[in-house]
Amino acid sequence: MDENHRPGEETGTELTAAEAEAEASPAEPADEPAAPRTPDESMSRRTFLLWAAGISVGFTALASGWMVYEAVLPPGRSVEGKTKVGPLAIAKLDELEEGVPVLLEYGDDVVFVAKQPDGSALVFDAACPHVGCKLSWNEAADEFECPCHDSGFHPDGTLAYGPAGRDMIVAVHEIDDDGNVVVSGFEG
Amino acid sequence: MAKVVDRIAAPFDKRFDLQNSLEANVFSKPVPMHARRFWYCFGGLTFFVFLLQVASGVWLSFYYVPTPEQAYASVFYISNYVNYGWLIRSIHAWGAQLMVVFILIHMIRVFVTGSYKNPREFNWVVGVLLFLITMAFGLTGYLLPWDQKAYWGSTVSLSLVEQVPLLGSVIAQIVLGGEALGAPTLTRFYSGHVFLLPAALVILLVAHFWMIRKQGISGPL
Repeated sequence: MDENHRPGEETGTELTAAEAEAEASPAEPADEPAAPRTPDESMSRRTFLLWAAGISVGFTALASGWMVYEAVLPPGRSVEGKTKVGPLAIAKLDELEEGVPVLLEYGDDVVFVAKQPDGSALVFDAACPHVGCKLSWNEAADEFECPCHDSGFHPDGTLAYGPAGRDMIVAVHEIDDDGNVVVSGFEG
Repeated sequence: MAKVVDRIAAPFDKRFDLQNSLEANVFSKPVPMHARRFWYCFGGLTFFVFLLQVASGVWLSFYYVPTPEQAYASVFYISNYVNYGWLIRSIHAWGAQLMVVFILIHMIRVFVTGSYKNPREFNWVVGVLLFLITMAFGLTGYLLPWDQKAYWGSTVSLSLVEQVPLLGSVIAQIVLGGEALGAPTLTRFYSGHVFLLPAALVILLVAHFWMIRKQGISGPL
């Protein structure tokens, strides 16, 4: 790089102060205190800046590469991927009141479990799909409501009004033989 | 590290003479001092934003469906369901705005510094064509979400096209592809947005850069 880069050679312009300094001092200036220095410490300003630029670009590339990787995967995939907990029995269906969603813990997440008349259950992530605030159940209005931006959702999890742009996140679950609600993850 | 790079690069260098090519075409062409200014950056910035548009646009085309039934739904899906879809789609939308802004600043700079003068007149002409292509990108891209704004916005621009003397109605028919704005229009706009316009833009960009290299950067004021 140093041999190849000859600023000003063809254009007749002058070196900037920084370039002149970087060109002139592959080693440290002589009038530095006489502390013994290993070669590693005598990095020129140019080398330092090249490394700094390279590392910044590298990090940016890694971050955007990871984002693109996430974005090209089909969003519904992560039933298992989105949780480290795995299948977990979180409630007994018999103990729930029909049609009244209750907040229950599933690993680090919180889910709403609502027993249905037909003996099944609806299970939703309690995090609002907008920016993830914890939804609450409003019995009087018969809907889920978000405290942050006033999004609302019907009892079946479908979007009632924004700013959220989609329905509530469905938790994948089954009712086992003992009547337990077993949650295994979230749909995308 | 450097040794590893050398080991990998050496066979390619031997066959393609990379070192000398880079030396002759890149490292020995420093930007002249008078051009190392803020206002001289906007041509390059426009190119950078264009690359962003290509990257985000290719990704959008993974999910986008150019039919009247599914266009809006697929865009909705991108924004609300796909991981980081909202981000990448916003990058594409804002990048489109930025690209036009950067081009205008670039053109003003070139005009104010007189860089368009002899021997660079042809490059100015190519630049104007690039600007028009970018505007066409904006027009065609605007319809693709297929929402009310897109539909009626494009209706207005198509009725403007019809007002062009002599050729107006023919051009409008070609762009419209039917009686009214509908499925054929959407596919034509999509095809233009992702095939024709990018091809035209890249060809003219090569000409733009090649002429800069041939004629050099214009002198100081």
